[in-house]
Order: sequence, then structure tokens, then C-alpha cells
Amino acid sequence: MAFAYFPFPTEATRGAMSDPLDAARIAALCPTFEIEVHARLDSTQERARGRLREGRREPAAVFADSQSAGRGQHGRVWQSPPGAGLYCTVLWPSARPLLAQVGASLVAGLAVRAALTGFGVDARLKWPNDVWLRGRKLGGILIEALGTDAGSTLLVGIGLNVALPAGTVIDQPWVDLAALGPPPPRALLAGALLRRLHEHLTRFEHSGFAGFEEEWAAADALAGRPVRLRGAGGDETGQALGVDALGRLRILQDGRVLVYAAGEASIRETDDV
Amino acid sequence: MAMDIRKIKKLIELLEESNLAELEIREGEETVRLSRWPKNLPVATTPMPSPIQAQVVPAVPMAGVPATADPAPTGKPAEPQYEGQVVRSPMVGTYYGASAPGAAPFIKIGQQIKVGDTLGIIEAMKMFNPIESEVAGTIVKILVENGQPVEFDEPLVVVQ
Repeated sequence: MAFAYFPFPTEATRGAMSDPLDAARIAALCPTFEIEVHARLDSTQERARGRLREGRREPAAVFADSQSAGRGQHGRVWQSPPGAGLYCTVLWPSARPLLAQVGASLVAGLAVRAALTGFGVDARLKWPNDVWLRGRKLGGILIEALGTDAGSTLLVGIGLNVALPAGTVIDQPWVDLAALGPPPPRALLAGALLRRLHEHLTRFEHSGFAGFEEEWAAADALAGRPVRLRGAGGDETGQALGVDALGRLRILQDGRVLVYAAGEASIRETDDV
Repeated sequence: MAMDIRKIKKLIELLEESNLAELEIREGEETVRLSRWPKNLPVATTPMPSPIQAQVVPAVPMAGVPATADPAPTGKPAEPQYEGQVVRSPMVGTYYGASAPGAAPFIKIGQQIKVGDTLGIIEAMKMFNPIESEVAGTIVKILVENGQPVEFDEPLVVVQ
């Protein structure tokens, strides 16, 4: 098992001293994954790819206290200063072919929500996989799926705001767990997250998204709301009606229900027609 | 019976959650073929029942498809023949030709590529699949545009 945690206070680890990401502690909470913890990485996603290049395909979780080039959607940089969040990529080998992995990003979001529920945090999910708290962004998920001879491998990247420095600017309204009171130790959060991901991804491996529809309905931040879906072909507007059995967003538009597999969803204010 | 009912049920589940129209499994002498839609139906169309029936099947906007199946089989034109290796989409999703909006495209016509070079990215519900070339050669055709919805197995790029 790789331990890459630096115990000495440097500029990169200073923020983490009060709430260290301890690999042994995380591993004790979730022994099903190999754990790597780094003080600083370009991105956990890139490090997980590195493991694959080394031929290490077993389930693993890569954490970084801070990232210099954390990846968000559409190539955006994910703000990840030291000690401020939980930045993780889970490497998940799967027998499912690529085309049967669609929906995994929603399931990963449900796992994050389930883990947070254990700490008394009632997060919601904005389709397909933004983690919301009080109508603001608490975290995000980015999944890379790579085809393999045996099926596919998922790299599930998760970023959660735990205690961001005041004045942090992100391209949308954000919130962190510290807004609710003293946040849980990150190692505990990490362990709970891995346990839930293991449970949820195992269920998905066997039966796909179909069994998660009820859980999604309870987590859905958009259901019933007027939404705008921004896509490459322009904007679509309508009323969000949850997801279908594959996890695609259902929108009521002019008396018809259409389903979408792509686009950036946002809630429309009522006077914003 | 070698292929028991549980195995067939599993296959049905796999078919249902995929966008496949047909699935055929051969095990020894036995063959099971499962098919759920008439041939030539758009593969992204889902037969999910919906509380509100679609009255008209519109031209597919963006990646949206009617929540009810189009009952009329729509003829798909035969795929043109390409000279060279055709790289196909491994899943239903949106094709991206660059790593970020405004970034340089992964590939251009006439570009030399090596095995493992990224040719594009397919996204479905924030799951990103980088398309890596399995061959070395020259890009002779790019058949899809940035942001375009693509079907499973749709030709994306031709390499010679």
C-alpha cells in the first residue's frame, strides 16, 4: 500500500495540520480500496491514470490535500487549496462495457449524498452530478471511463468543499461544510465516502441505474422546478420531471416529455422566461 | 438446460439498461437472441412509458429524444464506405473535439497520429470517455463536429 503523506509542515501542508488526511485512518475505515494520500498533486485524476499506466488496476483511492491543476468540467480548474476540501479519485475496475456505464455519475453522486447524510448533512444533487447544499455548490463529480479488454475502468473524481478560505472565487455560488458548523475530520469523511462508493458502485455493477430511481427522486434538486438546459445546440427550457431508468433528465416541454443525456442544467427564476 | 432463466433475466436487464436494440449470446450449442425494437429505429429512443404522450415526434433537439418510442420505423441510410480505419463511438453521448471550449482541437485533417493519441472525448451525463487511437496513421476524415450528439458505433474519424 502506498503512503505518500508528508508529515512535515510545509507551505503545502500547513492548512492540513489541524485536520490531516491520514492514509492509515482512511484505510482502516474502508479496507476494500488501496489508499494513496499526497500532500500535493497536479490532479488526483492524473495520478489515478498513472496507476493504470503502471498496470495497477485494483480498486484504489487517490487523495490529495491540494491540487495545482484539479480538473473540473469542460477543462475548468477545480479550486483545491491545502486543507480546504476533500479531493479524491476512485479507480474502479468494472466488467461492464463502456456503454453500460452511463448513469455511473449519478450513482457516484448518490454515494456522496449518502456519506454526507451520515454526518447530518442533507445535500441534494443537481442532474447529473453536482452536489448542492442550500442551493449552492458543495461539490462536484467528474468521471472518466476507459474501455478495457475486461470491460471498463472508471476514474471517479470527487471534489467537496470542506472549509474553503473566505473570499474564494468560483464561477458559481458555493458553500462549504464549515458553513453548517465545525466540519467532520476529513479522514472520517473520506472513509465514509469510500464505503458508500463501494456499496453503490457494486450495486450499479450488478443491476445498473434502474434500482437507484427512488434514491435519486429523494436527492433530486431539480424535480418539478422550471429548468434551463444549456447544450451545444442551444438552450432548452421546461419543467424538470426527474430521470428515466437510464438516469437521463426528463423535461416537460410544450406538453411533451423529452429526455436528455447532455447539457448544463440550471433552475430558472420564475420571471426568467 | 445450460442457459438458465436467471441468466436470461440478467441478459434482459443488461439489454434494458443499455441502448442496444438487440443482443445475441451463444453458449455452446445454445443461442439466445433478445430484441426489443424494430430494426432501424433510432437507438437513443427509449420505450419508457410517460405520463404525457408525445403527440408529434419532433426533430431531435440537442441530445433530447422523445420519452416515448417512435412507432414508425425510420429508414437509416446505408453507411458510406470509408477507405482506412474507421474509429467508432463506444457509447451514446456528445462528441467533443477539444479538451475545453476554445482549446486547440485534438486532431486536424492530415495530422499524423500515434497509437494512444486522443482523437476526441465522448460525454454522457458527465461521464467522459477519451477516444484513443488504436492505430497509427494520418487523419483523413473527421465525421463529427464539436458538441454533436453521437450514437453507439457511429463512425467518428477515419485514419489511413
